[in-house]
Amino acid sequence: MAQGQSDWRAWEPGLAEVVKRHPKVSPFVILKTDVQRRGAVLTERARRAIRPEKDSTLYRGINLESNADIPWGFLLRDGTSVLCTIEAEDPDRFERTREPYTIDYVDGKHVLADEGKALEAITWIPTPAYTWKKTRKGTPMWQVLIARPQRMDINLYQTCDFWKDGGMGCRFCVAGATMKATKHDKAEIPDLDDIEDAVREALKQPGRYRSVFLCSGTILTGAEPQDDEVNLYIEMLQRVGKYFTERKVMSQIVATAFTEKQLRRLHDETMLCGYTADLEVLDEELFSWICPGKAKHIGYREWRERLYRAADIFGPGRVSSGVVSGVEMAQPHGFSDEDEALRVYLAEAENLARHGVSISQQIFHVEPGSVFFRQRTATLEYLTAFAEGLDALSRKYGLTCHCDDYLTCGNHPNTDMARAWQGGGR
Amino acid sequence: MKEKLRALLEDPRCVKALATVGEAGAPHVVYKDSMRLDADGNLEFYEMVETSQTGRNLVHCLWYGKEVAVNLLGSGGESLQIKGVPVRAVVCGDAFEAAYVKLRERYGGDADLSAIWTVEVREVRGNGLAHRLARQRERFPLIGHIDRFVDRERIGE
Ligand code: SF4
Repeated sequence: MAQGQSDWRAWEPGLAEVVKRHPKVSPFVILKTDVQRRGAVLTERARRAIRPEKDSTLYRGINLESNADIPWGFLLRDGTSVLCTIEAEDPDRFERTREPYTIDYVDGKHVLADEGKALEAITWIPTPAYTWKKTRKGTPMWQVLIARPQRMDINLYQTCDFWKDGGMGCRFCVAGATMKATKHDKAEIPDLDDIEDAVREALKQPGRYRSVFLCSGTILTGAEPQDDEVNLYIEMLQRVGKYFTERKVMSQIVATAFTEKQLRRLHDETMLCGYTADLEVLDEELFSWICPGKAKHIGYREWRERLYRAADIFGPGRVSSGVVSGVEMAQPHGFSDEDEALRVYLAEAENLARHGVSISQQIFHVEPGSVFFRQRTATLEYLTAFAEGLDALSRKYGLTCHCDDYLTCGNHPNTDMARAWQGGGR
Repeated sequence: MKEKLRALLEDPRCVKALATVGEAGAPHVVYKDSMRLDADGNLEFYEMVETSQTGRNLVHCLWYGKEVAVNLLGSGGESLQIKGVPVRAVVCGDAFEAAYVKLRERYGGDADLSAIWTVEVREVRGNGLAHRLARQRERFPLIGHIDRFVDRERIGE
């Protein structure tokens, strides 16, 4: 255990206690939340048992570059994905407020453990079949396409104009730092022909994908602001869309908040069915502090309005907004009382839900390279209560999340829970 | 009993019923033709419909450790009653993709695969009528209509 990490268990309820306090929240989802919050360390023997030909380790994207033999996520036995920071054993690794979980290798299985106690056997995200193939231009396909357990991910603009605008990037974000560290290896926008080749190859693997996902850092330029970003999505979606017989195929973008005109183009000219524009923070003042670029160029209220318009166009349950859950406790300006934060957040989430917009909870975890790398993350109790509140709102307003659930995404504790109720019936 | 179970599951004309409950507590029964025993002696079967009531109920039972019930009825009338707990839902990987391909080949059309489910067997009991009556007689010899135990001669019949 690194120094300074010894006391946190004494002042906040642990996993077992939180599971007991929240009987309506899946214990698997609570465990996932805690792992995402704290990260995990692979023991040496666990690392030696990784088979990169089977267990997905390669990753090139906006927020992560990984070409080592360490996976970037795993599955629990209920099929819940856990996408999280996984590091090798290293006494000099970056120290967080709470020590990470351990992933060990016992009796031929990788197991998730805490305080020396095995909790769950895990399986790794399978390496997709296209991984070591090359595009017609000779680019390794893994460098331009990512595969979650049931989704293909295309990362377009792999930096963000907010970072270029005097460091106005969101304070928890590592996109700027990831680009800086990898700029000699990758272009800001991967070659679209390469991406198309990789997607075509990926589609030859039956049973592997349920959706196509695209994301991009903000591009402010164009005939109208963000037009270049919109045009990039449209071109890529059309390139992918032509491989399908149906006009609309399960797909989602996580993008900047676009104008109604831009949203209509995305809806009318492409296969796209799900749209997400992340507010990140559900409080106007904190939004302006934590996401200065978004605040300067669009603003909280306009961002929210655009989400409402998106829900009119794409339909309720098909539009969401990501929230970096727990970042609202960042100091010195964030909430100091978790009950107050929960009240404010759930009230704003209900406001959005009334307009057909759901919230996708992402767990705030500190990473080196972000402005907030010294902040403390929220308690598991708080994060779980928020997930429970969001799930209740989705049920109340009938907001299913088929475009962003445990299979078509797998990164949001609250939408992971929708599999227990979405689809109707009793 | 495990051997009986295996034999019954391998009987191509065996009817395999699965009963689950979800968060509302309403029972739900379906037939799972794909049910078989895995290498560990657990029940394994496919759920092909992602939004099905059974799928949701199985998720509920896995998350909260609740039991499901299975009833097998063989072509010769033999029957087994099984209680178990869902312990795994495989949603990706080699086995998943192989099953997906097999199901697509077999059914075509809209056929898909949601998950390969594993139910850990907790209890297996014979369930044929004769078996159940004999079991009750053994455990509760006093229960039942008393005319069955009457000495017919003595009552003048
Ligand atoms: S919008 Fe914010 S979170 Fe998204 S890439 Fe830009 S700086 Fe990062």
